[in-house]
Amino acid sequence: MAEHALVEVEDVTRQYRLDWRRKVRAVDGVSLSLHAGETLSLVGESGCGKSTLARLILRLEAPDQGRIRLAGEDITTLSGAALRERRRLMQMIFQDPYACLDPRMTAGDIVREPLDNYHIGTPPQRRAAVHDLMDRVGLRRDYVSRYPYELSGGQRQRLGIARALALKPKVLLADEPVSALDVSIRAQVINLLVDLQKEYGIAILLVSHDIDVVAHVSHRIAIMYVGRIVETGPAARVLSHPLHPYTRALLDAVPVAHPRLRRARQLIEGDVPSPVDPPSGCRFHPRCPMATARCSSEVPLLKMVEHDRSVACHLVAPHHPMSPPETQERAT
Amino acid sequence: MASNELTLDTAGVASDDTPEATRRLSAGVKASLYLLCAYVAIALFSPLLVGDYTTINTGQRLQPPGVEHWFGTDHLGREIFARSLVGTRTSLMVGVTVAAFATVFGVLIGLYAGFFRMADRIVMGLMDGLMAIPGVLLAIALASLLGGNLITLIVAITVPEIPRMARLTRSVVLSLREQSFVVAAVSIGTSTPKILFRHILPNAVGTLSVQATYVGAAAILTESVLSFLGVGIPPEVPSWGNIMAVGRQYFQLAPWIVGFPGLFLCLLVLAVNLLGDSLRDRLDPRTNIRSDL
Amino acid sequence: MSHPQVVLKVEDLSVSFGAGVERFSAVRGISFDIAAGKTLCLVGESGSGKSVSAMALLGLLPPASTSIQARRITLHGESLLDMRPSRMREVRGGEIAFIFQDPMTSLNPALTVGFQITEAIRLHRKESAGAARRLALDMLERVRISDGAQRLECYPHQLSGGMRQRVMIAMALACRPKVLIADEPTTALDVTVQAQILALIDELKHEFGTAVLLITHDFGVVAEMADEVAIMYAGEIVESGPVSDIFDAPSHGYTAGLLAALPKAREGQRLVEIPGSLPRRGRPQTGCVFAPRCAFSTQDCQVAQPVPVQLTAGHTTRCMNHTTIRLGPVAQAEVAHG
Repeated sequence: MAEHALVEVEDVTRQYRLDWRRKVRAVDGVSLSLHAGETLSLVGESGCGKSTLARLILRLEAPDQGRIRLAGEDITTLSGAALRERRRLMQMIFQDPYACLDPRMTAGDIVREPLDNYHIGTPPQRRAAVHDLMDRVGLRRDYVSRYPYELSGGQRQRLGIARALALKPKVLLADEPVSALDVSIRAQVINLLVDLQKEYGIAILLVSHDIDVVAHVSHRIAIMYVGRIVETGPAARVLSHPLHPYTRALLDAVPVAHPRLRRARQLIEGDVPSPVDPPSGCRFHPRCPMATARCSSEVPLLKMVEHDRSVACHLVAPHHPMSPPETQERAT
Repeated sequence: MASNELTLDTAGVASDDTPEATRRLSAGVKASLYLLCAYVAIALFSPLLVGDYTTINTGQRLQPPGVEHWFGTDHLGREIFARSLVGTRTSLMVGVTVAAFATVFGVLIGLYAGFFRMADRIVMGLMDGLMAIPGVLLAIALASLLGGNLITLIVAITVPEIPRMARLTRSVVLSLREQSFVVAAVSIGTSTPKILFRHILPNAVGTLSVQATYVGAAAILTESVLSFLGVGIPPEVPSWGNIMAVGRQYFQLAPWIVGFPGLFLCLLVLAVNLLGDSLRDRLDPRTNIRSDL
Repeated sequence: MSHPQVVLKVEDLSVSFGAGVERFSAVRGISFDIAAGKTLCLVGESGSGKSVSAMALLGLLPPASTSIQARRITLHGESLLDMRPSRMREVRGGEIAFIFQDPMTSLNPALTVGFQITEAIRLHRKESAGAARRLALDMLERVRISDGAQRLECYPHQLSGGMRQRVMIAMALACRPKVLIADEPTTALDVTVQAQILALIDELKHEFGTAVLLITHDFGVVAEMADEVAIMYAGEIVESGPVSDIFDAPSHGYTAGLLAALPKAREGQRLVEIPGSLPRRGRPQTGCVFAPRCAFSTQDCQVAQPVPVQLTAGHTTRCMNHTTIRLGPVAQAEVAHG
């Protein structure tokens, strides 16, 4: 990439100690980058480490190994006032609209809090800014004095977005922003995020397990499996021509869009392994229809196979992508 | 561009349900509130109303309850009615003061231990040690060292209650700390003291105030026990405990000496506990609505 | 083609909670049929009343505060309304089985999986302990749980979410019920596991000829599983019909809105939003309950109570403007944005 990435994650690992014997690596040697104005989606199932990775990028935790750079600056080991200062550039919206707002604060207070924290403007200016933000996310101004319990799930999520925008961040991390919302409300929030990106050029890191939402909003995708990234690339390409067997299995498992598209599917067996006791070598090998002996002993590295795609699979050679026998067309 | 939220009255689903239902108070709760108000009134005004409760009047010894002496008299001819009413002051004062101090110290310690992992082990170890000290023994020790008076009594009852409040606060803080609104506060740059006092503490107040009422009730009981044992309030100042202490010797002759103060004690503790229970029911976040039909 | 037999017939079911001022109608006059070997998907968002409807069928709602009324609820002709409690206990689990969303809370954490399955079998099929255990092992094999004998001794917390749900399915189908009610059975599961569970339900349904009532909010699940669909909004069924008809020719403002709001529907373009949210509880409704949010609503919609209209065999809608809506997706989008 010609320009500096906004967020650079380099070989980051985070592990937790379960008890005196066992550690679990929630994130294991992950690298990725996020550029201004783009939406990168982290996709994976439970235990893949995407939420932990999001917390690391936001420096809510520090990685045990690796580096994280924000706008060119290394923030891996920052703390205290220095870290607080950098937080202005990265904001987050959360999955559960019922838990992400302090139930004892009014909507206006919630949105104003970041402005208060950094002493931005005078109090009257902050109040005006709160009104503007609420307008921007489509909430009525008179909701300013309402408490979260008086708002619906969709309204709360909008409030969370307004709060996240208050500091004019360059990066927005959206952790499953619509999975707790009803279908009819999701469209509102998804459209809002897309609009905000177009208007402010914010980079969005979307963490999601919902392929349909991801397909709709992403520029690039990174697929995670048990703490590692197994494939990255432009969203449209990865979704239409997945290279990694797990990506293929994942896409195959997504329910169809129309009954006439029903087909006999080759579903992979077994459950998603837990990161506590991951399989050796390639973590997908026990469930992979194409696994070889090498897959169980040697960890595949994430290698570039095209100029903008990488895959971590022994069976996909760099610059010689395996010709997939069936490609999954994303049906409309 | 933005949704039509502006043209639609779309208050959240929850708003209709919470206010009305919780405003109605059950009969039991109403009764306990009235009772507590009565006790407070008695505590405040009793010395003015009941006249003489200290004068020894040997001519009227051990009179049973009757028209002249409503609750009877004790072995020195002092009116039980008057003394019981005045004893309310001691009990309420001890109850409120102990609850207040135990809460303040316990909550501060609990906040610190709950939020800072490093401090947790050390602080909680100290608290466990403190909890191991029996209140009665501490009271006796303090009384013998410093003389038995109200101050030492309050200290002796408060100290073992602090760890209980600290433990509860710590567990509430631990669970609140993981809630996403706290994580959100960190991400928007809120300083740690502000998170503790602006986000965590207000959301813990419900549970903590319930526990504070229980601490108060326990303190009232403990004071009575200590006064009964002779290491609490000195006998010149009436306290239910020391009235009952005297009455123990005369129980077969004059059961009313133990009976009435005991009744006062029972009812007060019951009222406080009922209040605590109803507070807990009202403030329990699980009773808030999640409409998922 | 033979017409499969209708197993469960529900006519004009209403469920309300509370009494007097606080009375709240969660379900208002819904009707549906399920045939043997067929899946009816009851689709709706939170607050639509779909779960309440299912639970009402089996008497799983608290009796003191719930009022259930219907013109008819029959299982193979036998009425479930006012059924003797002893007979209802036989029906529950034996003839109508229920699978819940979260297998962690619907399995008893203190009992082994084997105990729970064999208990269900012995209760409804009156088998001996040995025979019940053999049946349990057989069911575990059918739900593709390997090492059945070992798993029988496991506790629920030792199994993954997907496996617990398989155990639930095994328990539910061990007694060969005539009807299986599955309330969001895969919502809490990962995508790859969800696909396995849905395929399993489908396979067993075909094998045993069970009638399936599948409650969901996910149109992908509907597209994969449904033979028939009933769409619920605010306690009413607003549209119902064969699954292809619903997808190809939605005939209610809400159905059209839901389908258009799906990300799949609008690659790269703005999603069509459904503005607003559910109506407040307790506010009496004049006219169509969805009208305030409907992109196709007219003056009449706010005033006149919509009645069910039969469009084709099996496809019913409660919408006055169904002809407009059925013009097709392009026309729909134009109307929605215009």
